[in-house]
Amino acid sequence: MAPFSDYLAGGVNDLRLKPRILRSLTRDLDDTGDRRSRLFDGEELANILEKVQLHGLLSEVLPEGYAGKDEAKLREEWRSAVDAWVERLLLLVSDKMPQKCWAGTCLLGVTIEECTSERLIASYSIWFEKLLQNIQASSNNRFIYEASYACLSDLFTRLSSFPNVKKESTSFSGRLVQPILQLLDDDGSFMEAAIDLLCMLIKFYPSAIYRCYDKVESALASKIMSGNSNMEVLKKISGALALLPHAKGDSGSWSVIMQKLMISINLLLNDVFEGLEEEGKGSEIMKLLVPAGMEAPPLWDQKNKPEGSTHATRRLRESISPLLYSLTYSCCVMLTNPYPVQVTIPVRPLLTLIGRVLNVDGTLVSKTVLPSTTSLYQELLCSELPTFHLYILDLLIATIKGLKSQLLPHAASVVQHVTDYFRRATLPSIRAKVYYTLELLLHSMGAGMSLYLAEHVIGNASIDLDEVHENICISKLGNEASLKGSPKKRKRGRSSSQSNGVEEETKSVIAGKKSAPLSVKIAALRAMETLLSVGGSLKSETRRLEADRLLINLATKSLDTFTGKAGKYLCIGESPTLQEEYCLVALQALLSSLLSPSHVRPPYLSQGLELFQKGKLEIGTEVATFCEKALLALEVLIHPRDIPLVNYPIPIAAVVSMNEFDDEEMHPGWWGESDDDGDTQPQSMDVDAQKSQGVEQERREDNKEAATSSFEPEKNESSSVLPPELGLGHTQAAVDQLPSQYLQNIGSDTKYAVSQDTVKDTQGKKSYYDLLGNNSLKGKELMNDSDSDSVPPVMLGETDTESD
Amino acid sequence: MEGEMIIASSPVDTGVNSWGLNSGTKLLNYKVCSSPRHGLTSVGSRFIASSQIPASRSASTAPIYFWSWDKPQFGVKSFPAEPIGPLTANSEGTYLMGGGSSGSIYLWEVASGKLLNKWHAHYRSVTCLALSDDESLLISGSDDGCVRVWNLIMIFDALKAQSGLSYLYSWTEHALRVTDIVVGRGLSNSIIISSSEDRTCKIFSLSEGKIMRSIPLDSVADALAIDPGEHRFYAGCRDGKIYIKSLNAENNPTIGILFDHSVAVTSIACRDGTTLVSGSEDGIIRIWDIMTQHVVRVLKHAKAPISNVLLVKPTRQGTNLAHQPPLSKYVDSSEGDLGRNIVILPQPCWKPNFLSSGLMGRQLKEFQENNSSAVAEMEVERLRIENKKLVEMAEKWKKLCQDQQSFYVKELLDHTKP
Repeated sequence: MAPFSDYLAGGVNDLRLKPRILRSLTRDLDDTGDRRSRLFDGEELANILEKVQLHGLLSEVLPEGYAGKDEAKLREEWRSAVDAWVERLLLLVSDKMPQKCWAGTCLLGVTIEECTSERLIASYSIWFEKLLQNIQASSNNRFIYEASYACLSDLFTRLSSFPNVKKESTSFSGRLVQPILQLLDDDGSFMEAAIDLLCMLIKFYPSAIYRCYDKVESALASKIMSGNSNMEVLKKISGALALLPHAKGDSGSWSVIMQKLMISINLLLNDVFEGLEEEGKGSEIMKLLVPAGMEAPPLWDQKNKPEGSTHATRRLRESISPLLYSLTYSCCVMLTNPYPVQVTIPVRPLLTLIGRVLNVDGTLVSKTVLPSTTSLYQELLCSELPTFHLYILDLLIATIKGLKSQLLPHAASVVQHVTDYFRRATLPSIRAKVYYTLELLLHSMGAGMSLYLAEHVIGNASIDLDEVHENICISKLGNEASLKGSPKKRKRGRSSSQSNGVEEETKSVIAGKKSAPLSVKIAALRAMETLLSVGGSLKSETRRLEADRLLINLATKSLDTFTGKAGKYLCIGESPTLQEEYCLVALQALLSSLLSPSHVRPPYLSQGLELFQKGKLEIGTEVATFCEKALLALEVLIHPRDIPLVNYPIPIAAVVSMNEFDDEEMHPGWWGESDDDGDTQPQSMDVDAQKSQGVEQERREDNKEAATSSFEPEKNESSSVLPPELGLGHTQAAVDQLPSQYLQNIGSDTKYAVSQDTVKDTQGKKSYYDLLGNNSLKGKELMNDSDSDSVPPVMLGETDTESD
Repeated sequence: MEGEMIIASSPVDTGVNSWGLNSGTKLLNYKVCSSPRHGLTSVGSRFIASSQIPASRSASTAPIYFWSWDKPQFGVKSFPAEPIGPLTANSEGTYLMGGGSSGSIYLWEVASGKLLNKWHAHYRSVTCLALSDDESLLISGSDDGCVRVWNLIMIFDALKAQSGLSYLYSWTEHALRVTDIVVGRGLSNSIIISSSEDRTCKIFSLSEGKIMRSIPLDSVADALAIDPGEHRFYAGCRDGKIYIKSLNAENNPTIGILFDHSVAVTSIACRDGTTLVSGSEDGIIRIWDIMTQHVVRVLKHAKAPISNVLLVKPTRQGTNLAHQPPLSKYVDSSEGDLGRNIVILPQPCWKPNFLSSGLMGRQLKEFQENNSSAVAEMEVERLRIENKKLVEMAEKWKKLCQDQQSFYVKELLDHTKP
């Protein structure tokens, strides 16, 4: 039997447990004996990983102030356990057996992330060499490559925070660039991990990349221009290219990369849009991109420049679309990522380029049909065109995000482009993205932008959200006989939600099948919400009413659908999560419509409150959480209160102590002691020194009295709770103009009573509304109008607290 | 650099003085400045800008100076086309707007110094400028009592500009010169308070575009400040009093008076509803505790009237004005240049992003699902190595066996031999 001291006194929290677990895990990694096969089923490895992370076995950190008598012993024990663990891992890393090598590399990566700084500094060079060998070995497996690159990336990421090894780690990192470039050239299939490492080096070791900047650039660019990797990899490569200017960190290299990207996009479009747009657009943009007298930068060459034999149509799908994607993605990253110095963004060319793409709708423009523009080509281009538009909209979104307030001079033209395009956009994914663009514009430009966009947003959203309209569309599309007359019935159904006949149910299900996808509706609702938040009813009263009505109807329906009480609106085939999101967005938009200032009282306030109350019952869902917030937000609307700035009696006591502190400790001699040597504080002058000296004395006495009395509210002597400044050191005028709130507090009671907040003369209440723009609303209406039972109106108490 | 600072200027050359708000210690005197009312501003908290009063009545222009926070000498001197009165900048510090004596408003891009736009806003000189809370609308007040609201996007809209009607609202309720304009919080529904020499303050609603109320004053208010919670506003008047007016009460909205100045109050600034800073004609700045309505500190600026008192919060690392171009005089309409904006992207701050454990998780999953080629490869490799090992082992056993056999055979033969 083990000696008693071997048992863990602290149970699971006993620190001695950690080295023990680690030792046992190290033993598990040992493949001699009967355990040999367990390493290879993955389960063992997963178990080890979980244990290491769960217990923090590698941290070697004793809690702050750990004072066990065995502290030194425990430290030693833990240290040696980690030593053994690392030793074991290193053996595995250089093992010939791929599984073992892989397991060792992965766990070494975890160790690098979690081990102590001392251990890292002491052994990083050994680890680096081991991992480098793995990378350079040509016969390796994908798993091992990926793990090794990730491991190296983690190693250098951690080392970057130690300035004392900066020099050495930079020189180490330089040795990695060559293998990475090799890998890029070799067309390896496991490039992603290497690109991750490259990005890390650009971020943390720019000087390592600086030396071979051009090589890296051309390697990345040629990879992009060849355009035959899969999308995920392309995205990574484009991201790396966009990050590359950081290696130099000057404004010039940023601009050059940006310029090259845009020229490449433009040239690509010249090729693709031939015959489908007016001629000369490309050269016009080129003129903007490369101003007269400047020289264009050397361009990246397209490796597999299409030969004549390649069929134009195949080229379009297989190489041009990915190429456009990666070029625009690079631009997006550059526009939105941080950069150490200020840069010059070529806004005009950028917007012209975006406009160029959005303007092409696939119709033939040139009268003389070019030989390259066959009808088949047009057909194929049209099938790819929406994808192009989506990419370019992403670019527009990035421009809006990147420029922020600086978009101002160009805002009007952006609005022009987008709204023109919106009129032509029919595909759901495009409409959703356009809505998002409008939303961003509203966010970035505020009320001024809402004047421009109100009409477009509300107009388009009511088409996308209105189910009556959908029905009409459907009946137009066909199936007319079965759906005849349904719009009318639907309308009736909307106004009185109780009428749910079987007939109508089937119809709405049919309509539901064909209605605009939820993603578009969600985007439309979001745009509406933003519009109402930033723009309110600025100059659009009529539109506003329409929007309010639409939103209350939608929110009611979507909540009904969500709670499952009215199955008739259930849209078949839509996942419940999307449904929930839709409901959430509808309720959010409703809240905005209720809160957003309008010139009349929100017409659907009581319905809205009821709805939120109902939604609140769906406990445990996002919807319920939001409904609760909404009710909180609406509180101020149903109980408008004019709360005095400070209504606690306590501050009087606080003032005393603060004054004393202020006067004597912080600014000695403030209140007049330095009367005769005022020059000691040249910047400050004494305030009526003579007067205040006497006054101060008086005031303190008064304050003390006030302080004591404020703790006995029952006494209720109005004079004793007067704020100390009353009648002290001030003219009579000041007393006459006492804050009315003070007088109230003095006159009635100084208990911590909330009811006091609401005691306010009716005159004041009315004018509060006047100020907010609710001219029609008088105090009385407020009481009668809130017809919701759950929210009693504020009682406007008569005031007798005027000073006499 | 101090957290929050008070800066103050005068219409005669006293420079711009700065104090720490909490400590009250004087920090720097930014040299050479005689700024008109509303002519001092902090540009995106990055540096100070101030327009100047022209040296003589007949002077055709007066400079605008920029000071970086840490240097007393001005860093940039620009000469606009005419003397500029009020100046204001957006919070990012990308645009600087100035109102000219001819009634024109100028809008410069700070980073490039380019004059992006100039438009004729008023018939008389512009006296004050303010941006709405979301910085998309500009509110200007004029010498003739007119207050106008401009949609900045519309200013740049070539199509709308042609139709001529470029302002959003024009309010002509004031009879005399507008002295100050403050804008409340809010997205599109903020209130705008203006004061004028006609002894009134007027409250306008931005969303309705009309006057809500007119508040008569005993004296002309030259300075306004609004309580951040918008319960009340403060009007600093020529009779030396600062009136505290309630925003919510219609009749007799005065709820207090701060009175310590014996001469006219020229400029006030309010911070977080508890501290008010006021500057007066005798060159003295008072800091008030609004709760107790007491002066808590007195600062002496100069023996000259104060034209502006501002509360500013300089950014940590200010801006080096060495590369700051001066503001240009005329709108540059050349195409090639206009399309480029100098943009300050956020400073990079790379967060360490560790990959190994995530990758290991993904690979383990793939490994356990056992359906990728990489796993198969590994398995093949393992089997190959094990096979090799086993073959080696077999060879060894075989050899051992042979050895043993030959040994026994030898033994046997030895034994059988006599």
